[in-house]
Amino acid sequence: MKIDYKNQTIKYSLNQNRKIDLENLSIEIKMGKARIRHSNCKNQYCLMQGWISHVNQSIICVPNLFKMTISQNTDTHDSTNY
Amino acid sequence: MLPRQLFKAFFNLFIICLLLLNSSCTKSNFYEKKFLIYGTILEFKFFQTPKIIADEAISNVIAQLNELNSIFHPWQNSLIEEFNNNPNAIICDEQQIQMIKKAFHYEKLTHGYFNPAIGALIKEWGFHADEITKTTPDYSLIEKILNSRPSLNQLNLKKGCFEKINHYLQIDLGGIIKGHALDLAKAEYQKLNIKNVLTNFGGNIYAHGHPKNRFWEVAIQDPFDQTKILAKLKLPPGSAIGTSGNYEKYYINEGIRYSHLINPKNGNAFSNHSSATVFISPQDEVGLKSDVFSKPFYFSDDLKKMQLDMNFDNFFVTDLNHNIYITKSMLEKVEWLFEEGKYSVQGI
Repeated sequence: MKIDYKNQTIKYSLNQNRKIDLENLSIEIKMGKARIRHSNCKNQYCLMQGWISHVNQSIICVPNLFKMTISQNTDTHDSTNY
Repeated sequence: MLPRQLFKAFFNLFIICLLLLNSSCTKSNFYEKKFLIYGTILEFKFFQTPKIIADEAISNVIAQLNELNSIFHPWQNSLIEEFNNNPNAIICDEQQIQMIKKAFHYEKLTHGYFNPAIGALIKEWGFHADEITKTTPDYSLIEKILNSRPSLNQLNLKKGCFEKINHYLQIDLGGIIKGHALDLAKAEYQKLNIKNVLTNFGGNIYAHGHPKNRFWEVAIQDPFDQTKILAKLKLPPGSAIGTSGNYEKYYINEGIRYSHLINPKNGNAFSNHSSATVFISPQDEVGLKSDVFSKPFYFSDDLKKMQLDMNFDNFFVTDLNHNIYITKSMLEKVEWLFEEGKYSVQGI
């Protein structure tokens, strides 16, 4: 999964449950899907999108200039051991 | 030829061409599917396999996983859970008995470092739950459980049924089921004559066949940063890889990480190691071994002795201080991908 926020692009695996706290938002990855858990934006549309898990699905929070996208695995390996 | 017969001939030829085109398109592509089964990610990557056959294999594997879950899940209304919670319960089902006997074989092989009889310890540390929250266990209960020395040899086989002689014994096959599921998948592929597929069940990976002109390639996750790769290696056909790590299911309490990997020898939920990875060459029960064999090396503080006791040469262990201890044989297989200086690699 790819997060674009404040001129940075960060990638996280959906294989590992985690909570990611950013300046104005909080993201949750759980059981292969992701959502915005908390946002300080006024209308909370981004929270209402709920969970995403399929390639090319994305959630945008416009006031926070935030975008999160489930991206295609472009790694050079076939699978990940963990 | 009459016009009607001519039309029929062309139509049949058209259908044949369509089928050939479809099968050749499918055969030249990878076909990947991913599922979430009982909180664990199951991934398939087929190569040169007709989709209809791949889907049949997937469906059959998932059906078998569902059955395993209904029997062996440690805390979700399974037959084993009933047995664990009832002191007078017995196990007479042949499938369960065979699975328990198999688990006992590996308990002995790993000198008790893989111990499916310590369900009570795992539960007391809070890991028999869908949501892991930090907890403070009852240490006096942990001591009582340890003193009873739970082991599958405390199951008495009487008139074809297992009964418990230690009421602290609770069966938890969580350390073997993922690997066993890989072996079931392998059998399914053989039955359906599927040649090339990579199966990943909760991080344990089995390589069946290979893609064109290469082996399946797997990345090994960095135990300290799940967004990064520690190493890569190629899996020859029929081989498997498994890792036990303290980052999979854990909580942190007062700065200490407590993991679902409970040491059967001392009841601790923490270890000096962060992960242990094993490579299993092609052999029977390759999947099961990829699951079970990582446990002794995760827990043991004397890796050299464990290597000799287990007569097993293909593993490496990472410790809490970013040291990697690796056998010569395993070193020849991996390609390190960590940032320079992050880890120190030492031979065992």
